[in-house]
Amino acid sequence: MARGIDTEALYERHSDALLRFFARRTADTEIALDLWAETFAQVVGSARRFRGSTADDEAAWLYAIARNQLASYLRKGYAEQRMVRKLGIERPPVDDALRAEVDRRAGLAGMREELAAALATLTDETRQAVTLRVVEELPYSQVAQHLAITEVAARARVSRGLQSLAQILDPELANEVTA
Amino acid sequence: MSANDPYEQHRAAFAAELRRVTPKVRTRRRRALALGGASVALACAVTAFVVLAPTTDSRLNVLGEAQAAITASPDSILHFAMTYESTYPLSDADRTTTKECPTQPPELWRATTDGPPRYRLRLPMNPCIVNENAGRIITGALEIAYADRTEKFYAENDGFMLVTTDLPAEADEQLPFIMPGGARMTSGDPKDPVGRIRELLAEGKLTDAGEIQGPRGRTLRRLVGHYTELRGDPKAPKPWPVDVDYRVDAETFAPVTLAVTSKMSVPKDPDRALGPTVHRRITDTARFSTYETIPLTKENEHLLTITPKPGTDVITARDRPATSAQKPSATERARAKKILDAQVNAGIRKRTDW
Repeated sequence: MARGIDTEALYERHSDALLRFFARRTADTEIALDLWAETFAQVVGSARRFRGSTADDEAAWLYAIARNQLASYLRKGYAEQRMVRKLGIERPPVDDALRAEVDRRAGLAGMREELAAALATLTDETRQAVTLRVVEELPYSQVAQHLAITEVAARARVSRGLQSLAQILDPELANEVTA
Repeated sequence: MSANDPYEQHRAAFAAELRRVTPKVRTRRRRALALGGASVALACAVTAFVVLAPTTDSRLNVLGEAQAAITASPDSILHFAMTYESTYPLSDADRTTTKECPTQPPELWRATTDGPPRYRLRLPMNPCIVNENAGRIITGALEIAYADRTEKFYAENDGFMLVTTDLPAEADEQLPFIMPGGARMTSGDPKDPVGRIRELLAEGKLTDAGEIQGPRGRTLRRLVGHYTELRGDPKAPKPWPVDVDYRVDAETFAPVTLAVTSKMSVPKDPDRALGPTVHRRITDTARFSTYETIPLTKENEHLLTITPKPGTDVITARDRPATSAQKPSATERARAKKILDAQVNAGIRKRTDW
């Protein structure tokens, strides 16, 4: 029998792991925080449509939303904040100390080394874009400036690159993105 | 956990925000359940209410969510990409451009602010069509941006951008029209293909027909309805019933398909637009690959304009008809032929005549 979803308990149980999930798949703390916030906003905003009955169902539902958000980001190059805005959620500010702590918890330093190795498999154009954004952590406006392309094109190149890297680091996700 | 840990602080602050907004979402369900516990004397009525209330409530929410998903705030960018098909037989020209030479869907970004329009339209390369403009032959995708009576027409593959300034005031009315093959279904709103749906939802003329499985296992929500359209002689228009089948993503409520079915007066022979007409029941379907609203912020302004690549030949003109009528030179024809032939050899182009 279907029961209501307990969003608070779900947040308590899964928020840490979900943030790591996003951080390790985008290698970008700010994007990870955007996706994380939107996913929980979607959980709250669409709680009535949850049809499961167990805690496992709740977790599966949460990660289904998370994967949709991630796939949408990889396709479009930016993280949706539709439900965050719709519900009027005021997001706590993100500062350097928070970014550093999320990086540490998600083990992004080590992962960025792995990514650097995987970068060798990309085309020159895409590799430059991903390197500037992911390894050197430049904002998209500066990535675009460096490459003499529009910011939209820069975002597209980075997300294309991340799709290719996902194929190396997370084939299951890459299949979903390109499905 | 340390009280000074910036992550734990952030996590707790966000949890508080989620708690703050959660009751808003739950109110209706709680109210319905509370009413379910009313007095025994009203047992039958209450039972009926408890059984029906969540359904009615959920349907209201579905329609409300569907409305919200296509209602842009005044300071947004509406972004959509769509293809269009009809059960009415295609003319030869449409068959060539749509069936035999499929392309990626055209994509439009449009500011929803009041006042003169601002938009950018991206038209992917059609493997069967070669356009020309201002004495240039266009071999690839096209982008057109419009704002302040200035139009930018950019052909990246051909290294040029035509900027036409000081366009007449009527240019503000000539909005981009991106639906090929007749596009009968827009009900006169080329700015937004679901404009009519928004009206129908506001008028309460669509009902929730439940969830269905879409392609690739995607769950869709189906909204159906009818309306009457007045057509024919404006002095004595006749009512024509129209059926609407509108499908949205069950999770986001973004439009997925919009099918409109109606008996229509159409040319008997699709290749003879001015020939004798017949009445046929026709379904026109728009399929959306994207439909979203993006905040119109400083950072997103670039979505509405075109920034050409360095080295692009930018031609500025005031007189659009005279500029557009220029014929390509022999040198230009030779340049384009080389590119077009290479595209044919690479299998990305079917025709090279223009």
